[in-house]
Order: sequence, then structure tokens, then C-alpha cells
Amino acid sequence: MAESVSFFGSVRRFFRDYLLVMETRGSFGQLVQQATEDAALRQRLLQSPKQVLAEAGITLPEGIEVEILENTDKVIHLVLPPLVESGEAEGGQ
Amino acid sequence: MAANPVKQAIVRACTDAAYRARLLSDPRKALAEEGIEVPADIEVRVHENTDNKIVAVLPGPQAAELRERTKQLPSGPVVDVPSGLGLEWQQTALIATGRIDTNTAPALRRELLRAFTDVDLVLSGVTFLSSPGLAALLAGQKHLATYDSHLRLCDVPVEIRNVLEMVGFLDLFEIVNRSSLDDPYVAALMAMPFH
Repeated sequence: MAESVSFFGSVRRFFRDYLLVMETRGSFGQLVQQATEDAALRQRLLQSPKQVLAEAGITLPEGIEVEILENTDKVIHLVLPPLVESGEAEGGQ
Repeated sequence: MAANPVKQAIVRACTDAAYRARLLSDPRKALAEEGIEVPADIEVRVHENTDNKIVAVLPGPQAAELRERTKQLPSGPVVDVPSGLGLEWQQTALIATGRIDTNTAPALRRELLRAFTDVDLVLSGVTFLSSPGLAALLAGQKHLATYDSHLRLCDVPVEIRNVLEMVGFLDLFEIVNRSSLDDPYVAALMAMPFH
């Protein structure tokens, strides 16, 4: 089936899997899930991420900054997980 | 059909330092290497976490679109299916159990044609798949393609996978293990903070 890959379809499917994975991955994943439905939470999460995380019981070591970005119609953000040395990729858990 | 190219680009960036550098400095060009053509009016920004900063993304219109499309899907066990096959919708997943044969394939086809979004057909409980079933899968894939969507086959038992391979279907469908989605990708995600 020779078909061209649609950018939007690929991005939508990527974030579907991202949300599927997040759903099973504890408090931060649940917060991201909630923020896709709850506009007020979304705004607060974007504006004062650390405070909202703290309210959800997610505390971070001092000195770690958090930046939450949001995709729009025109801008797609992708975050790269850490670079793994070859041979380590299988043992990420 | 290969895995999602966006995911592939990210997985590659986790192991290939040179590619990672290209992806960070010129996303459009680096994504093109993986066969992803970013529309001219879209900007892609690529981020990485550092020692003292964590970046996370909230899916925007993509999540909303997915939600809207998921809402249009049926939910729960499908009632009108001949005995021998069980079908159940769970959000965008259609869980099949039993035999997909001359008798039951039309019901599978009918369900797939009801969808307008990406569907994960979960085959772990399927024990038999013959020609009418293959035709139903193909019809589903063609139907979804008109909505810029894919039918993905999940948790495929080895016997069923052998059938798909012998008839040349492995090129037409993305096949994943749903519990791990795509191992290197999940491994990479697991390595992120918060998890």
C-alpha cells in the first residue's frame, strides 16, 4: 500500500501512545491526562508548574526547574528522552 | 507498515548522538530523514532535559482531536456478533476473541467501518484467521486511511502473525505489543523524570 505518511496523523498517533503510556505511569501522567480535559488546570500547569505539581503531591529536588509547554495549531514540541549509550537501551527500566 | 515515524525519530535520537544533534539544531531537516514532511506553516521545536531543567509537553489540538474522534466510537461488548467471535470496544481499542472466519468476519468488518479514528485491533485472544478475516482487516485499513487514520494490529499471537506474514500483510499494518507499545520508546520514556 503505497501511501504518504501524513504529518498530522503521525503526530496524533504519537501523542495517543504518549498519553497511553503516561496513563499507566503514576501521578505526573495522570496530571497530564487531566490537563488535556481541564482547561483551568492546563492554564495553571503552564503558568506555575511547580506549584501545581506540589499540589498533586509531586515534589522535586531543590534546584530542578520545570517547564511545561503546550502544542498549538502551529507549534509542535517534542521532548527527547536522555541519550542512552548503546547496549543500555534495552535495560531502561 | 513501519512504526510511527515520529516515534522512530525520537527513539533514534536516544541512541544516535549525531542524529540527536541534527534534530535539535534543524528539526525540519532531521525529521525529513525519517520520512516526515513537516508542513511549511508548522514549526517543530525539539527540547531536551538538562541537569537542572525538566521539560514536559501537553498535547494540544492533537489530544482534543483524539478525544473528539474517540467519542464517536462505540463502547463495550458488541452485541450483534455470530457465535465463535467476541468483539469489545474499549476506547480506541477493539478487542477480538475467538475465530475470525467466514461466519464472523462480516461483523469485524462492520465494526471497523464504524470507526473514524486510529484503531488498535487487539488479537491476543484470536485463535483462527482466514481469508474473509484478512479481507475485513484490509477493508478496515482502507476505510480508516480516508480519515488519515490507521488500523494497528496489537498483541498478535504467533500463529496469526505467521498467516499475516505469508499473505504479505506485514507491510500493510503496523504491529505492536500493546502492553509495551514499542519497547525502545517506552524504555526511553521510563528513563524520564517522574516515572
